[in-house]
Amino acid sequence: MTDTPYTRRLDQIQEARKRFNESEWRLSFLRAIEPEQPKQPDPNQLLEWNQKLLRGLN
Amino acid sequence: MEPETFTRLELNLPQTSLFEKPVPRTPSEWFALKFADAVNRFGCPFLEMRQSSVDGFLKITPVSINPDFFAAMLGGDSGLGHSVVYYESEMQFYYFEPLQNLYRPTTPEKLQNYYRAMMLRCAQELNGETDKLNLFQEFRSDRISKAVVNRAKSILAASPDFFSATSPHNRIRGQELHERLARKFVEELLCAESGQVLYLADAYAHFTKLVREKNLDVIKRSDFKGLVVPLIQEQFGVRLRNDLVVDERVGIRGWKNVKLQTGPT
Repeated sequence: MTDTPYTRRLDQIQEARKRFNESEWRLSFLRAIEPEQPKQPDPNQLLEWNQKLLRGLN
Repeated sequence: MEPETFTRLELNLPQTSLFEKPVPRTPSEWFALKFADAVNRFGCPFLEMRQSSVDGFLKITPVSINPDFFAAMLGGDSGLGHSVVYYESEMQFYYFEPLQNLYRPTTPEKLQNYYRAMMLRCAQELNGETDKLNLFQEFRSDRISKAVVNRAKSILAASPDFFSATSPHNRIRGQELHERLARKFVEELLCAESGQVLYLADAYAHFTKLVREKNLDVIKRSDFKGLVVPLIQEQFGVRLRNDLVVDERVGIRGWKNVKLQTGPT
């Protein structure tokens, strides 16, 4: 696949979503069942969350 | 005739390489790659038995777990922003909820579920050279899961001031939320002003309003007094008086030379 800013961003979103899903899977065992499920973040929030974790700021 | 077999007990950890992503070959390596911090502190996750036969077959059997490692694993992966602590003064486990940025209570039973899920996932993801009976059955038994969570009480123990009002850690509905609000009330809404008097009743009424705005439970006036008296003394150097006079009524409680700023601060 051609390496473009668009494909790079897609890769970053995919990587962030993988980490987010792993995080949610683990947390799901610790959470009590709530009336509403936590909302999935949009791609921009997801990237920001991942960047924060990588910088160790969370 | 049975082929000759060589048996050896091993403590396996993954080989690190700068060029390739390491692939786990044994249960120990699988957990070590996921929880590197816990391995660094508490060592190898399993004692494993390697059986190799002269005809080239290999079998890896995890024979015993390292409960300290698994207790530390329950503490969460800091790389994902996770954290689990055992708050000894309340005998309660808390996990960090990243979506709300605060700690919430969880139970030993839920931690056991998490431990068992990780063990099963390891069994599912490893290849056919791993003997999965212990991973599936023995290490997921109630006896071992309880022992791991019990060990976590000491390994993940948090100090009594972990959730204190001055700590960076927040938790849901803890007593310190009122203390934190009281501190804010004193620091931001009160000021020193000569000749002014702040009555305890007025301060409590205003604080109660703030408590309701924050969706917290209203506390008793005596509890409020216990919180703010030392804070006001620390901030303004004045003690609570019991001898103030208002409209000819004597014995009213309050602070002299302190004013409640009701407008924007």
